[in-house]
Order: sequence, then C-alpha cells, then structure tokens
Amino acid sequence: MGPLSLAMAELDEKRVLELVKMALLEGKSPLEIVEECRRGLKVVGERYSWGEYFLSDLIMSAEIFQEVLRVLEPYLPIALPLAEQPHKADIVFGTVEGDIHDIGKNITISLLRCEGFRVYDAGVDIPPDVFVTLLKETGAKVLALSALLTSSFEAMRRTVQLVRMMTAKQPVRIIIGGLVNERVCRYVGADAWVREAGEGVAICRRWLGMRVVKGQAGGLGAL
Amino acid sequence: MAEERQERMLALWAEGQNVQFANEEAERAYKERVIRLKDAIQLKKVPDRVPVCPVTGLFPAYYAGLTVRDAMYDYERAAAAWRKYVLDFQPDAYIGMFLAPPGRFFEILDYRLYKWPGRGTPPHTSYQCLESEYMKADEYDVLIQDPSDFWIRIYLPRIFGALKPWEKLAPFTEVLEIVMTCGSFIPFGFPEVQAAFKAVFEAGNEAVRWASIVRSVDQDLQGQGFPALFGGVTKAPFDIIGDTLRGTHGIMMDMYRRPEKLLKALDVLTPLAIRMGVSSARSAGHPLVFIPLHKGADGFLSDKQFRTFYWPSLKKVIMGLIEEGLVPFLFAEGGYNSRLEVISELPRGKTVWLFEHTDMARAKEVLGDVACLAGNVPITLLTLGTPQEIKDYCKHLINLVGKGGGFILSSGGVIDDINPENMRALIESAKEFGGY
Repeated sequence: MGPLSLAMAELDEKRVLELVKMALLEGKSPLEIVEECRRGLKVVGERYSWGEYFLSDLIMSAEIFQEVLRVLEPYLPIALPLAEQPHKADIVFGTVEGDIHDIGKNITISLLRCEGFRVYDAGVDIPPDVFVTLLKETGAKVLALSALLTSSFEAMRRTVQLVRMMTAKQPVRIIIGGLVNERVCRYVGADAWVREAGEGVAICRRWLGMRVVKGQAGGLGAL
Repeated sequence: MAEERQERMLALWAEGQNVQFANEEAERAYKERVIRLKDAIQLKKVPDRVPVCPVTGLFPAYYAGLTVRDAMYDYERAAAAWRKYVLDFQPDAYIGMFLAPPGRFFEILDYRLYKWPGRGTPPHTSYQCLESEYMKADEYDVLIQDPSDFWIRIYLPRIFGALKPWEKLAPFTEVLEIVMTCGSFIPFGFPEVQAAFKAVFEAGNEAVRWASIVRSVDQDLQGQGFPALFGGVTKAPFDIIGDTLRGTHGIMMDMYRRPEKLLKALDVLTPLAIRMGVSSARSAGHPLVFIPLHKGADGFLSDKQFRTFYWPSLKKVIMGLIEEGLVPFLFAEGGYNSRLEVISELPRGKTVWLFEHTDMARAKEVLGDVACLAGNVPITLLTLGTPQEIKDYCKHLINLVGKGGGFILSSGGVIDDINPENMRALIESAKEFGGY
C-alpha cells in the first residue's frame, strides 16, 4: 500500500489532499489516484468490520474521498457519474415505505460502492412497486431494504412478497438492515438480516462474488 | 446535600401534593407505586417487587384504534386513549401524552425538522426527524458567542417556515439606552415579521389548548393512583448538536475538522441543558428527568471519542441535575456495552439507566452498585413475539437483573403498535415473577 492509500486508511485528510496534489503535479493519472484512495477506503471498511473503526470514521473517510474527487474533477477524462445512478446495478437499496431513516442506508451504500458494487440508491419511503420496477430496470440481483421503525415491518413484508411474486424470472435475494433480527427476517421473509454495514457488505460479497476494481473508466461507474 | 435534596424531591413526588385523589385507595396505590420506584432507584432498600414501566410511545393511540394522525390532531381522543391505556394495563408509572404532540401547532409554524402523519408520513406511522445541517459548519462561533441569539435569529427561522422573517430581527442585547434602543425595534414594524409573530401567537394558543388537555389527563391518572414516569426532560449536549443542529454527518466530521469549536460549543450548551432539566422537573414537582441518548451508542464513536466529546458534558448535565436533587433517567438507545465502565464513575443511587441492546448481565455486574437499571425487553419481541415468549424473556430478565432490587422492568425501545396481549404479558410478568 502506497503513502496515499495509507493516509486515507489513517483518515489523515490534510495529508491525503497534499499527496493527491503532489501526484497530479508528478503527472500521475487521476484514475490511478482514485484507485489508490479506494485501496485506503477498503482498509477503512475492514477496520470498521473488526471494530477498530467506528461510524464516525466511516463518515469521515467518505468525506475525505469526496474532497479528493473535488480536487480531481478538472483532471478527469470523463465526467464522474458521482451523483448519477447506474443504469445497470448489482444492488437496489432503499428505505421502505413510511420510513425516512437514511443514515445507515447511506453508509452501507458508500461501503458497497468502495467494494466495487454498482448500487442503485432508491432513496427513502419507497413503495413496494417502485422497488419491483427498479429491480427490473437495473437487473439487480440483490435488494437491500432498510427500516428503523417497528411499523415498517409490515412495509418490508409487503415489499418482499411483491418482489418475490413479480420477479420470478429474475431471482432476487433480499437483505434487510436496521431495526431487524432473526425474528423480523423470518416475519418479512427476507434472506438475510444485518445490524451493521460491514456485515451487509460481507453478505453481498458472498452472494455476488468479489468485485475486482480496476483503475479504468469503466470501473468508475461503481463510484 | 444532593442526598437530602433527592430525598426531599422524592418525598414531594410521593406525597402527590397537587394531586386530587379520587379516593383513599387511589392515594394509597399512588404512594405505593412511587415508593416502589424510589426504592428501586436509591439502591438503599429492596422494593416490594420489580416495578414495571413500559416505554410507550404511541401505543395508547394504536390500542384505542386511533391512527397517529388522529392522536396528533384530535387531542380529546388522544386523551381518552391515554386514560384507557393506563387504566386497562395498570403500569407502575406511565409515559404521558406529550409523545403525541399537536399536529396543528406544527402546521401553523410550518415545522421543517420533522415529517409527521399528514405532512410527509402515512397516517398510521410515527413522526420522523429529517436530519440535515440546520447549523452550518462555520456557525460554531455564532452559537458559542450567544446561543439564544443563534436560536432566535438563525435556528428557529430554519426549522419553522413561518419564522423565516425572524432572520431580520436585531440582537436583543443591542437594546441599551435611549438613543440605542429604537433602532432594534424597526424589524418589528415589517409586515412579514409581524405575520411571523401572528403565527407565533396562534401556535401559542394551540399549544395552550393541547397542554391543558395533557394536564387534565395527568391529573386524572395521578388522581386514580398512577404516577407519571417523567417529570422533566433534557438532552446530552452532544446530541443537542448532533441530532438537530449539525446532524450525524456534520458532528462526526466536526470531531475531526474542528474539535476545539465542538468542545467549546458543548461547554456552552451544558448549563443550558441542566437548566432545561431542572426547570421542567421543578415545575412538574417530579424529580425524574428523561434524557434520551443517541450518538454515544456502541459503534457510533470510538472509546476515545466518547470520553472526549460525549461523556464529559453529559456527565456535567447528570451531576448538575443530581445536585438539584433530581434523578436523571437515561434512555440508552442501541448498545451501551462499551460505555458501562465509564458510567460506573457516577455516584450511587442517583440515576436510572434504561438499556436496549446492552448485555443486561454485564450491566448488572458493572453498574449494579451504582445505578438502577431498566429495560430491556426487545421491541422486536414485543412486536412479533407471543405473550408466552415475552413472559419467558421477562422471567429470565428479572432473575438476572432484578436480584437485590435496583431494576425496573421495561421495554428496550419505544413501544408503538403491538398486540395488546403482548403489553399485558410484559406488565403481568413484573407482578408474577418480580416479587421480592
């Protein structure tokens, strides 16, 4: 791991930005720089999953990465599809109908994207039929549902039922997160449940396989 | 000193001075319930049995067949629902109707901080916070310099659409003497500022209408022998900033990017948080001060961050309340496993800690000599489990944590829409298995 990846892993914002500017002066390709940062982010995710890092660190790492992208933007050969949603996705991710919690969802999405997964962020308060449409449009094989209210259990259950019914030809695995446990998982009929972002990433890796992230334009879609 | 004050405040609460008791039996039951809680809290005597006080949120509304929207807009029906819940289930203390806040009030002021049924969430769902940076990263100095001015001229105009014109007000501290007076009042002559004040008066009327009904429910229920669980309310300074000023994302970054400013702001807010808890509890004549804890849970902050940013100001709030003879009731949402040792430095018999996902056996081990513990029947079990499963859990929990007193049986989280039979199982469990 190079110094940039290391500084990223250590969440040393000042040093990361210095190193990025230096690398640009040295004529390093912006995509290579992005890739080095992402290697650092992976370490952050790992440290989080074994309890060395905390939510605060995850949030900070994502923020530093955004800063890096802001610096790099003028140098990138293509416009970064940062705010854009992928047309084709591995995972559709959203908070269920009636529930507007989004912190856990956003953190998990940023971790998944660091791992190279293409994630479609459906947003919050999403009705079941919208999830079905999004799954069909993006071809995603995993649906991740977030909910933080007990009153959302019903919405999760309705969503799971509708997705199972409407996507018979496109088997979708469903993972739920937030205020959930084994009991909730059984009740709503999901395939897996997680309370932490790191566990969610591990399950997606198991279901979808590891993503090899290359420093190429094509790989940027996953950002 | 704090000891005597606590004794006096608890005695005052137990006397029920301002309560009009329906009859002697109600008065006896009220006192019995308060003493049961007092004994559990002080860790001096083992109570007659484990008290049971479920953390009900909107359960009373659901139980009475109301939607959350009904409860927030039809105060009389909400009042009937709260009475029905308490009289039907007979908890040792109840959580009041303040958890069904008045919808019209928020409409008048065009409240932006929350969505609620009829304004962004479906009728049957609870109100929910819209996290955002209502305070910008570069506004710490303004907050630190003059928190009330920050609230009046910056924060309130952002969270209430109707109060946006308050941005035009002048700082009140600029009213000095004759020639340095009138200028500050010019904004009050602007039509838009006057319209904002009209909205405030209207909102005030609505608040009074609602509060008088809330009070009548309280008087009624206490008169029938049921104490309220909380007298006052306040928050941890870190949560005041992290929940509704800077937001989770904002405050987490501030710990890295502007730690000194954050620490200074926490310092400035600490006495205000104490003042809020003290004044609300005093006016209720009830020493228990509810403090919901959010961003200090396991996983949010490292141990070092917790000890640097979260705990020192919270501890000051807790100690400040204890000094006044009050009993901080901390609702530690999420897990608090990594925080137990830090908490154990608090004085004995002065606080209640309600846990959610915390390992209760370890909590008893570490805090058993320090604080009254409460909790932690999982909200998922209460929502999806059977009455028998709930009783089994409660029995086990009482055996584990109830030993020697210092325990209040409760839910781990806020109870909204659950099967009434499950609520009954929770309350009966204390009576069946909680005798000492």
